Order: sequence, then structure tokens, then C-alpha cells
Amino acid sequence: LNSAERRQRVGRWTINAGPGAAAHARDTVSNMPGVAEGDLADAMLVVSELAANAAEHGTSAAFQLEAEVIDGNFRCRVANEADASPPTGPWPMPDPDALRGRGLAIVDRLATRLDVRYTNGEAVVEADVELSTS
Amino acid sequence: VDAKNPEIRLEVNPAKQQGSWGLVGELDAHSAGLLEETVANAAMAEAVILDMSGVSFIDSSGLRALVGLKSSLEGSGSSMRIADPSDAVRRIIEMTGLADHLDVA
Repeated sequence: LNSAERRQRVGRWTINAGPGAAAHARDTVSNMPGVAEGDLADAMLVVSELAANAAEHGTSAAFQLEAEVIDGNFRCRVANEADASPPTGPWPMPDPDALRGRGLAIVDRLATRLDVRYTNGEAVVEADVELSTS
Repeated sequence: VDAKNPEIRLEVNPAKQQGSWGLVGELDAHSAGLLEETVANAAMAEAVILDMSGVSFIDSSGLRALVGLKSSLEGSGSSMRIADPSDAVRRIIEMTGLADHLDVA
């Protein structure tokens, strides 16, 4: 990759933690070079879950989203200020009548790696989705 | 797009059959409220059917809305089932083990 191509495969965005945060986060990554049509649904779902969590549980007005195509994976990382750590796993699928707790359980099933960290009031959640065609 | 009042990317359209609704678009945290308000506020039908063939995207917030809506409808003597799920809907419902609970055809 030359430097221009590498830049295109890495994106960093600051996203307002308002009502449209998840949709906005999906939009930012939907046109990323290196994510083929067949891989887009899983990548968008993972991004949507992480962004929705940041918007709901974060204490800052905005959160950071980074996405990258690297080593055959779509990697995304969401960072936000928070009063408590997100669940650090395992992430079992809740019972059918439960209203909450499915977000990270879904990400865990779609991702080859899910990493949750909480340091100095900042929550960072990172997930890798394996690309079938990269 | 106004960042403080972004567009809701979901339509909840009444179908000819009473209690039947066609959902078109994206069902997430932002659009979930539209589904709940529209269906819950409509004239009570004995059986609510959601045609989800037009749903291009759904995440766990969308599932939460479906589970909550079903519970609230059943609490008032109605029922809810999902008809004709799109690939995106079928996939997440199977992944989360909700196919039976949400009565997916």
C-alpha cells in the first residue's frame, strides 16, 4: 500500500452522542475501501452496537470511533468517557424475554476478537471482524 | 443532517389487514421509538403482524424494541408476530435465539 491507500483504509471520527449516533457511525464506515459488500453487514452491525453503547452509557457529549482494515480484518474501536466499565466478558446471550444485554453478546459472536478496557474514566471497546474477501 | 435532530430512517406503514404493519428501513436505538409509539398507539388489534421484509438493518436496540413491544401487547391481551423477515432480520433473530419468542414465520 502507498501512503494514500493506507490513509483510506484508516478512519477516525468524533461522533455526537445524540440520538442518531449509531446510524452516523454506520455511515462513516459504510464506504471504507477494503470492506467488500459481503462483509459489510457484519461490520456495520458491530459498529452500530459499539456506537449505541457509547452514546447510551458514555458521559461525554461525543465519542471517538476508529476503523481500520488490517491483516484481513475490519477493526473498529470506540472510546468514550464513562462512570463505569462496560461488561468485560464473557458475554452470554440473555434470555429471550430480557430487554437488555444483547449488544456485546452479538458483537462477541460476530468478532474474532473483542476487547473491553476501562482506564482512568475512559472506556475503550475494540473488535475485529474477519473479512472474507480482503 | 441536523446532528441534534437526525432523520429517523424507518417507516412504519399500516397495511390493509387490521393490525398488520409494514416496516421499511433501519431499526436501531433512534428509530425504535417510532415503532413502539406507532403500533402501541394504534387501535388495538387482536393480533399484530409486523412485515419486516423491508428492514435493511437492525441491531440489538431494534431487538429490544421488538421484545418490549411484544411484551406490552401481550400485557394488554393482544399478540405479535413477525412475517417475512429480511435476511438482516432473520440473521440477528437466529443469532440471539429469539425466533420462537418473536414468533417469526
